[in-house]
Amino acid sequence: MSFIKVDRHTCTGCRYCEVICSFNKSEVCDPSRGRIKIEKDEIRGTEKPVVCRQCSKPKCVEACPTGALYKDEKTGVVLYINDLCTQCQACVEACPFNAIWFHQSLNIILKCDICGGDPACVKYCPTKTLSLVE
Amino acid sequence: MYGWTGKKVIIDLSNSKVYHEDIAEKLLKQYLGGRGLNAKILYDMTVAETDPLGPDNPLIFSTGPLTGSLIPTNGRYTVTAKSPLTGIFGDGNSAGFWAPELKYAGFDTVVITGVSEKPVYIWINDGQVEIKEAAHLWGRDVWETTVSLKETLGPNIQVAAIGQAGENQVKYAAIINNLKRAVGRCGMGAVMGSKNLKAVVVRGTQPVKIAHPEEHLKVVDEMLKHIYSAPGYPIRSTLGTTAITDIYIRNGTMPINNAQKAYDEQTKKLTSDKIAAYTTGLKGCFACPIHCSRYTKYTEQGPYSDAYSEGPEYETIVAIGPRCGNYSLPSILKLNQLLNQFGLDSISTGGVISFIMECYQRGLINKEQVDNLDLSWGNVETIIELVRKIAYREGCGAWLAQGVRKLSEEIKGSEDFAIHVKGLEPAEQEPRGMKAWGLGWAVSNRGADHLRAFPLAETTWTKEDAVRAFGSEEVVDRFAYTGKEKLVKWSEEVSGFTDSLEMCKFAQMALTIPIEMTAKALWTVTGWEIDEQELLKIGERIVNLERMYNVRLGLGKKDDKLPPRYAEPLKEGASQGQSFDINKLLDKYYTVRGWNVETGHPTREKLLELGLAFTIR
Repeated sequence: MSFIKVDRHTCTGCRYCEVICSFNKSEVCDPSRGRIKIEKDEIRGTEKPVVCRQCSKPKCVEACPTGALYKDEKTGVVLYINDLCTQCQACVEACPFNAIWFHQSLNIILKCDICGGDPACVKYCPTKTLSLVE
Repeated sequence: MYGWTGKKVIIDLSNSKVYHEDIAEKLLKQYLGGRGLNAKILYDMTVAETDPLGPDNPLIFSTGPLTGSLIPTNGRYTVTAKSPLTGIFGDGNSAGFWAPELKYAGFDTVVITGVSEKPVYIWINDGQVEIKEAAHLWGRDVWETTVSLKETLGPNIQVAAIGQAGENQVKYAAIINNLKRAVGRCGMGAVMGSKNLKAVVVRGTQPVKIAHPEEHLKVVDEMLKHIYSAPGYPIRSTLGTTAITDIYIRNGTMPINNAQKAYDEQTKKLTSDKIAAYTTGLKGCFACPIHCSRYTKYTEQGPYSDAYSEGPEYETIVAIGPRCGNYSLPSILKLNQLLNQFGLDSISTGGVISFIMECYQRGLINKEQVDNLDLSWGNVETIIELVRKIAYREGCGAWLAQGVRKLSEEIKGSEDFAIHVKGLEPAEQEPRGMKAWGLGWAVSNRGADHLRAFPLAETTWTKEDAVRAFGSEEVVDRFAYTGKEKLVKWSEEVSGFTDSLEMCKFAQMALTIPIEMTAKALWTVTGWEIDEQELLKIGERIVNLERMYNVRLGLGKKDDKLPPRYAEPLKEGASQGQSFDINKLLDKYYTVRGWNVETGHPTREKLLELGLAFTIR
């Protein structure tokens, strides 16, 4: 069971994770493409990284009508097949943690796949807020 | 185009028109972006007679070529206009998250001209630019405005807004983004208020394209490794600038009671550990591994138990603290919050209040002139009340909203302790005990300011490094004059290109990223091959262009000076006996700059060498 664990208390909200994620996936820098997002409450001074928890019984997989989302039996990571996706966004609605997003202009689902086991966000997080649980 | 977008939008508020223009690649390679590009645009768009608060003064926002990339600390922007406080070249810059969002929205630069009839805000959303009504926001503070705009436009927008101070055109009003990050200096918030412009809101999902992705990641790794292993990193990343409080107390270089002295036992109530007790979390700006900022909340019972903000930074702690004779930490935390909400530059606000307190101390003003307030040093209630009155221009606040220079012209006998250079109140250093900083204040083209030169090397470099770079080990003796002209020139050049790349000087200068590494970073992002010498040359070009802006207004050697107070020797602390004499440095500085020592103006040869022929008249 692999997933990215978040320690909310140490996050400084710098959004390096969002940018490195977009860069790792598409060689451009664009946080809107990040498969991880920081929810900020600047009034209260809190930062909350939101990323897929790779649930053992994933609601997104249950909700997906086309099989575009499936749970990899070996690693436990929930993976996404773009070719099967109809952009219905049922997964976005189903996720109880709001950790799946739909990217409007790219017309794709954004969901963490832990970079095949070597997640860039974990590597670059300045405060070790993010860690990989294997 | 890689790195840059090459796009500029010009918004004419008088006629509600929006124009899109390309920015020539040649121009970007001469000035990089941010501060440098803005200086060129301002030079071209204004004349000597331009009224800083009139429709013809443009308000220019620019990001840099690295903004939005993975290069650490790239998230800054500069706002430039002719300053209403000083009447000369003016700019301020800020980090947070506004700058990368502008880049992702598709622009390097936003130029705002004219004056809107009614209050408006500008909404820049993925290349689309709209002028929207802001009557419902007018009169509200920065925090209320930002929250309201997020409710309307969504949580992912970024807001740069003015508070009541900007609306009321307080001459040192700031523009604030992310609630607590200030474009503080030179009154850019007043210019925004004069245009009836409440906020510039940005949102974007357009990627920043990287010319050499593989090499980009390599240089990012190199920079991060350098930053994490820098000797200053552990302190910068936990205490931030509050650590400077400890150093300046030790060195006797903290301005107290309007710089009447530079050491007081009571300052020990404000050391970094006292502030850290109220830190609730560390805070980083965009793509910044240094996270020098902190969220701070005062939790104990008392009049300021609700005080909450980001920071306070060293400059704010001292400006509204010891500079005004105030050693109450809870009140400083509260004042920091109020300054962010009203949208005031903490440095100039502290400068004005401490100046008027000294006038009161010396009996140069009467109580009626200050609404019958008791202006004794350290009177916290008065300081808080004055901040509010200034923001609203209420009662004596309207008078104080003009800045120290104007006040001093009206208060006879205050000239010697009117602490400003070229009309700008300085930050919280003590030039008598740190000579390079004094020279930096005197020659800065936006008036007294620590960030134009930022000659950190004076107190942080080794003797060996000083000899290698500047040929003298006395450069790192803070009381010596020797070699300081070379140190300041070099530091101004580094600041010039760093501010124009819109990187943070804490990375480039405090944690000493090698300039070659920065040049390589720029190449990986833009594909433009550049080296250290060329970056320094661009820094020099920018400093000279800003100087020529002021030469056009009639400024010169006579203006490169410090207030008479600094000729008096310090009487206490670790800098005891020290005074500051600009004459020991000025001609040497002009000489290393290739400027005329009689006038303080760049020579024709220097201007031609730097590609600034258009400034020769």
